[in-house]
Amino acid sequence: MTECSICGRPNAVGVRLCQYHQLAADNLQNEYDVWANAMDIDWDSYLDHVYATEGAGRWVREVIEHIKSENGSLE
Amino acid sequence: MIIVYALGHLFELRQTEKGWKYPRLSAEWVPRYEVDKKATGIKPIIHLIKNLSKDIDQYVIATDLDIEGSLIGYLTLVYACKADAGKAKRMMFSTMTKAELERAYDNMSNTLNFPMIEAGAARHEVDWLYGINLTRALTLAIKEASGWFKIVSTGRVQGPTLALVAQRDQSINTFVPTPYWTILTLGVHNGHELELEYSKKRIAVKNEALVIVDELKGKSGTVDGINSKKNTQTPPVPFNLSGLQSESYRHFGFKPSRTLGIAQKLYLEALISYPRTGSQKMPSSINVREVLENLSKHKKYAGLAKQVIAAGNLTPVQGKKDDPAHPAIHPTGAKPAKRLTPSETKVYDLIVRRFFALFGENAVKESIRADISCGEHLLYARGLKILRRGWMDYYEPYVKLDEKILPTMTEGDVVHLESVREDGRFTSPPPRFNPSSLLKILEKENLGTKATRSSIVDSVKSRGYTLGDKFELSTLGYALHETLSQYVPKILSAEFTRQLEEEMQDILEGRLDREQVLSHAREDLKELLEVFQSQEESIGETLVSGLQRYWKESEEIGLCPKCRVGNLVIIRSPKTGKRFVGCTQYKEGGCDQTFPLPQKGSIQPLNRECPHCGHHMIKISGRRPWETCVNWTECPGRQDDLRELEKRREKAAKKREGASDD
Repeated sequence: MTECSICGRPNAVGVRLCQYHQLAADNLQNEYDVWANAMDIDWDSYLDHVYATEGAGRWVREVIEHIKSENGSLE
Repeated sequence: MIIVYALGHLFELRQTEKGWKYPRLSAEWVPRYEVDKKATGIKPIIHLIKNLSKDIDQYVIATDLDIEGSLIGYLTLVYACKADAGKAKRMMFSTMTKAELERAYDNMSNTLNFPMIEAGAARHEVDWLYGINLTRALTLAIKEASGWFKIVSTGRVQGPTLALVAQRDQSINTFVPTPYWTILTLGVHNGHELELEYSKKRIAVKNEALVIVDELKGKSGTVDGINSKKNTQTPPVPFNLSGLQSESYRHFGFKPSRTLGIAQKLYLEALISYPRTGSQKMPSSINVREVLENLSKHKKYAGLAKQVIAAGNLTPVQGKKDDPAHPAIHPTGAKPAKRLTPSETKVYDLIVRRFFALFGENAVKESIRADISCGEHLLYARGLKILRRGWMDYYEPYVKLDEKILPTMTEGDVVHLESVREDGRFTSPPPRFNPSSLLKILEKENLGTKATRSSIVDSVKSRGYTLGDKFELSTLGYALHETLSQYVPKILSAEFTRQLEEEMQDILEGRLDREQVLSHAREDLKELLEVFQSQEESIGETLVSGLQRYWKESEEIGLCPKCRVGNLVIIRSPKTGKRFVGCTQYKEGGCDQTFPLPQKGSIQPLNRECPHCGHHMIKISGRRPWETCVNWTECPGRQDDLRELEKRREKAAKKREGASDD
């Protein structure tokens, strides 16, 4: 696939998402440790919490919707 | 003596070679109406100047004393009057008061400021070269790829400005908030309630916060020490243009271009000094006593002006930034010849009060911190007291006096912790730019000039690269930014633009001449355009796909509520030219769902539903943006809004009637 499965922009090299959604996905992955350490939370609840939080970025929310519509992971 | 006015630039650059192509590297100065069809008022002025230019012994240029003003005077002299610029004289002034104009006439310079004229001409030529060629390169790439003619523009300063907005937008859109906790504590000391602050402002782990709350709940703390610190706050520095624009945005919400427009009117009315200045200094040549005495004749300012004179310190505070051509913005003291508009009154009041504040004493504040220990935990009670208001008295209401008085406390006092709880919060993304913060960053990055920055800020929005009032990058903005960063990143580089700005400063200071700078700019541009030409097809395709996304997002409102198959889209009637909302299934599925739309202002679909009727929401941007739903003519919420509006209008009308009876 050459198009981002979320927005249709061209994919970033070696990944399924465009550069913006990939950056959002990377941030989402990286911050999980901070959340898990802060409040003992599993991945699914983490996604729900971030989605519902006011400052979450638009692309971060779109990545979460995408994860939820697939199998729950970023892979 | 004949005095004749110009109307901004009467002459503009036009390419010498024919054809809407690129590269186009040479241009000539022609009357503006030959380039801009809307500039119909220019022709009679040039004609008038030409007619008046017969049998003239001596020409005197009295335009604004800056780069643009000098160039306007020079071009008018050379192209409209057909005069020898080498023999013309120059009047120099910073205010339009009778006294200063007479002084400037008596002391005029025997020669024009040619480095300033050359720098002005170079700026126009370089901006023209970049604007015209890059815009054509982008537009023709789209035409080549799709056959559409859609003008997509960029320019020398616009590129880096777009990059700044895009960078901020990306940080916001990819932001993942993280949680933290604060401890909210309310203490009681001798019957007085006190807000206490836990020594660690942010606690990263929830359980840690819960343990702290548990250990503090119902306990008492002891005052271990009281620290007080006096802070002196010097008066604010005199206004330069960006300082005035920033303060005007902060207090009145005026965007920088509006403030500049208002300040220009006040200057032309001889009420304030020349506003396009970078200076924060009030030179000793300004008779501040005279200004203050004149202001004391205004009913509104008499009290404060007399107070400043009586205090005896007539040496104003100075800022760091300087501008050799003009002092900081200050009032002349002259009374308005006509009634000022409410907006003019606001900006004038801000300038006058800031001027008074320059002569005020330092304000002195005392911050007090009581350290309260409770077991292993430390809490603070903070207070702030204003010991001397100084300049703040003059600058009110534009300064906040945020006093917080602490009750008298001594070491060993006991503070009972009445309420202790943890408060869960989240980190926030960086704020979006507003017109004022974007202008500030342009100034910090040395992009554009004090006179051009506000129009650059406006142009990012007016060209559709940002949405709404919060500088959120649009899909079109992204398409352009992505294309430029992929193929010609130099256009987005602040460093590249800054280098050109420095070269223009070198012309002004006599280190470089205009031809050297232009030749350098042409060489750089040629390189960029060669990159464009070699990759025109790919550039065009990237832009076209971005444009398609942009149109889809700006025209598609959402799923049709009637057929639940098609999408509601904004359509313009080919017969009447009016816009409305219709369903994409009109032809194939026969869905006849339509909604009327307001005919003025740009429409932006919002990704949410009306709380009253459940239809899709839209935003109409104009002078006063408003939100409604596509069902706005029938929506019960809208009917309520209209009734409320009618009530407010009636109330305001009654108030006005009451005031006129008084």
